[in-house]
Amino acid sequence: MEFSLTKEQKEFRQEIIDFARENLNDSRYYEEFSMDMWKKVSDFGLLGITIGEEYGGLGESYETAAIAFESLGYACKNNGFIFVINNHIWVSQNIIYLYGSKELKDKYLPVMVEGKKIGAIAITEAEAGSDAFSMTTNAVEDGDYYVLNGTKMFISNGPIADIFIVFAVTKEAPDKKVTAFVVERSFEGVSTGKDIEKMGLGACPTSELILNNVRVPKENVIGKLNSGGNIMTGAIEWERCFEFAPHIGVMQRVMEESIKQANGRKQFGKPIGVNQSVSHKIAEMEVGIEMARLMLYKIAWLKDNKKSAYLETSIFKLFVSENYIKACRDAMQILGAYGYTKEYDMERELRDALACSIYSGTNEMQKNTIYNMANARCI
Amino acid sequence: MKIVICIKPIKSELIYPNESRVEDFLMNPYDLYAFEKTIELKKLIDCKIICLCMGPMSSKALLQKAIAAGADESIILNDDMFRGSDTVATSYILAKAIEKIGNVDMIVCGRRTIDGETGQVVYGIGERLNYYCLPDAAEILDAQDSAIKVKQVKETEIIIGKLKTPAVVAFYDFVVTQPQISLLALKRAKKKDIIVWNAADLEVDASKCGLDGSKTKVLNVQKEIVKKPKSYIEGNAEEKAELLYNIITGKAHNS
Amino acid sequence: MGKDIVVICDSQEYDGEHVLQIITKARSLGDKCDSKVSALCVGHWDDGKADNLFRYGADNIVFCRQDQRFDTPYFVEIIADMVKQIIPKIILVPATVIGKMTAAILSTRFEAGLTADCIDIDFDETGELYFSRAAINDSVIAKIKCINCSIMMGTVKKDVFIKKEYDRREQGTIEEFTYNGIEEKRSDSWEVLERIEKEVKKDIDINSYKKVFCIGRGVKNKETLERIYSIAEKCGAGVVGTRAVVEEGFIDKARQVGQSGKSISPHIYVSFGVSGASQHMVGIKNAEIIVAVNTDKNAAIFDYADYSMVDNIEAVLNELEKIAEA
Repeated sequence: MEFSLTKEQKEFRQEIIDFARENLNDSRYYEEFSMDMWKKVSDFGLLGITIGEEYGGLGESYETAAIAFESLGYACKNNGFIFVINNHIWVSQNIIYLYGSKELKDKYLPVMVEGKKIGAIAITEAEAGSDAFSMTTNAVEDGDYYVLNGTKMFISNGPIADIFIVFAVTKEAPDKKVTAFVVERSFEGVSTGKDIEKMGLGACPTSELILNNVRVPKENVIGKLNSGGNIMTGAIEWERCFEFAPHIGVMQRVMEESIKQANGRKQFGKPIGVNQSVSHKIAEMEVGIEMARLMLYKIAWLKDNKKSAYLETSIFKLFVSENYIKACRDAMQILGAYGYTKEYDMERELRDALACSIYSGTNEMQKNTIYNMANARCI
Repeated sequence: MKIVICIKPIKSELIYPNESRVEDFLMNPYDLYAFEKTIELKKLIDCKIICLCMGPMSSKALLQKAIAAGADESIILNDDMFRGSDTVATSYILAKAIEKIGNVDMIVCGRRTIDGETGQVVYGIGERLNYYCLPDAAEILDAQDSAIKVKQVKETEIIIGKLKTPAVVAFYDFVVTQPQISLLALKRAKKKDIIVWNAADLEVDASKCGLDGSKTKVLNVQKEIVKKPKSYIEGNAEEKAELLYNIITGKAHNS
Repeated sequence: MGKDIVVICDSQEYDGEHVLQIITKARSLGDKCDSKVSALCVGHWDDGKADNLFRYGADNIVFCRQDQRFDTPYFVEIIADMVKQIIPKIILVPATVIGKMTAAILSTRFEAGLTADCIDIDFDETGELYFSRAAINDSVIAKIKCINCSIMMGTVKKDVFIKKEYDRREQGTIEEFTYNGIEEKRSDSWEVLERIEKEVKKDIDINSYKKVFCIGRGVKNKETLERIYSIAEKCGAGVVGTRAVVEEGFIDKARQVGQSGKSISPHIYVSFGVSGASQHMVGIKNAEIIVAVNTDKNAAIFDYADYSMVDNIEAVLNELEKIAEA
């Protein structure tokens, strides 16, 4: 096992940090999606980070990607925009790359790697959240097509996406099965609702996805028919790893802000950092960052070696989200009243952070998963 | 057209004083401006752009970036003998390298370096190679095989002129942001070899290189700016503004 | 080895202020080492101008008459020819674009040590000549000595020496110089097609301000900027800025203070939202009173300020506006 970064990885990290600082921190776009920034990310080549060179990607390892995304979180203050990138790369583009047929890959990957088409994943429904399998959106065979009907809810990237990875029921209970489809926005019957206003992550528009008798050609089935369950599990693994990798970077940024304040702000004639109530909060941030990073590298290693990381990503997701929210909450306390004002970034950081105990499976669900897997191992 | 761009590697902490960076060296910001303007020439004319850099081997990274950004080739001039070269020695070594490259139509330089800050090497190269030296270039507007059309920015006027090659062109401005290079281009560039030439390759006269060949020597440096003890002014914005106004209007005196 | 000190006079105005400053310095060096000071000039002959050069300390004028307009490479060749005949010990040149070019070419041709942008030139305890210049973002002063060479050269910045009339005992001499070199050796390489007068933006001399308001990155919108301008006007202050705001396009490059801009020495300097990077601070090191307003208590500028005000810029401006209007 190797924990030191290679020279290339260090250089890669520097490239990401330089790029993000220069191009992605325009405060005008903290609360809305910017196509201009999207074009910059596309031209930079980040979208194809782990995609093979035959599709215009960089073909980097997941380990390098993990380092890159942690750095992205550190240098790019626009957490919502990172969310857009993550949704595109890990749960739509990567799903086609890993599970799609050659035809699907040839058709969709180059345009997605170049950022010409934006991706989104559609699993959740109004009545099917944590219990995703209770979804009702269905697909019925009709000649060379499947006809999809249903409404998906809280689709990140919904209003801006061109390509949706849609999960729909293809076999009803008792032996209920779902299938993953590539659905283009241009297909007849596809529409999205209006941008749902959220507490944070303003740069990532979110909406309903409405499928009304959408005819999807059979070649747009990802993997095999009725194999959607596995793909969903895979997608969730990617999401829990790479959507949470940048959060470690944010924690680092938040910690640096806290340290600046702890050393710089004086009350009662001393820097506030001399109080353990302040310094211990920072110590806890550092512990959270370091532990999370270790877990991230382990997951990346598992994925590079084509192993399952279902349990690990679940633990990682739970650990990162708890520590990330705590770090933001503590940083705000350290910054005091300034932290609560709109003039500082901290209130936004906290608003953005709070969502992470909910998305990608609530933390409560993670604990169930972790318990179940630990339990199964014991019996 | 064969073009050589002379690039000085600058310690990265000089460019980013408050950051710890992975690279030891970055391109001199004046050279970077010249580089970016020269790369645009590729759109106008078929040309070969060679980056020439005298410096440590760890300048390799910045030269790879130059290739990623559009240069065709990069050469490092590295030899213990070159160390400590002043402007006279530097222009000698660079001129020898340019002669070795051969048939160079245009030599491009930044106005000066941000560490040396002399701006002398440009003319030294021109003098040694007997090339005309055009300072204050802002942009290359057009190019043919034997001449380029240049916009020159002087203090009081802008001059559009035709420069016959061979010639040395020095650009007047600098850029501080690192060039935006796509990760893919960078990955490809890293696979390309960087040529390294030493004193023997250049067939230089040792007495003209490095400290031996230098005509100046830095004796010592002294820090200049002095910090003062911090004196925070208490009070609300109104009280501060009042003090501020009194200072400006001379009603308050610094005690 | 030569003994003379020569000053290369400006190709446009051979008795300009800058040249006279250097002649004065050369004279003082000449007195210390018992050397003759020669002024090298190219251009129209003018008795008054020649007198000027003598008055400030030249012993000798080497003059090449050129009544037609001449270009820089030609000028350099004439000067080089003069230098070849005199073989001086020290050559001082104004640090203008043409002066620097001339100096760099001569340094290469005569293998002479050359220091750029000198702010001081003198002899040390051992009687050896040294040149001083600002280096590394103007943050330090470097002392430089010439080695391995017989001619020592320096280009000299404007306004670092003060011109002083010299109490002369004997009449100066004038040498007419005829240049026999090849006419305009490389000049035909460059052909001017078009000259465009630059919009002369009322040549802003930020050095004339006794009081300045300086804008930094902390000023985030044009509205605040305009308010600063209007308050500055009421207070009789000029407005300058850091490189960051110049790059933002908030203010003109001519108003940029710091390493890559200008150096100023106002009586009072008030900064709004300036972080205080050393590259900026070198430009105001001669300010007498420094007042800094910044929201960030840890801003580096507070290390240099006489009055440090940690506050919201807009809030302070609001109050300042009220007071200034009252």
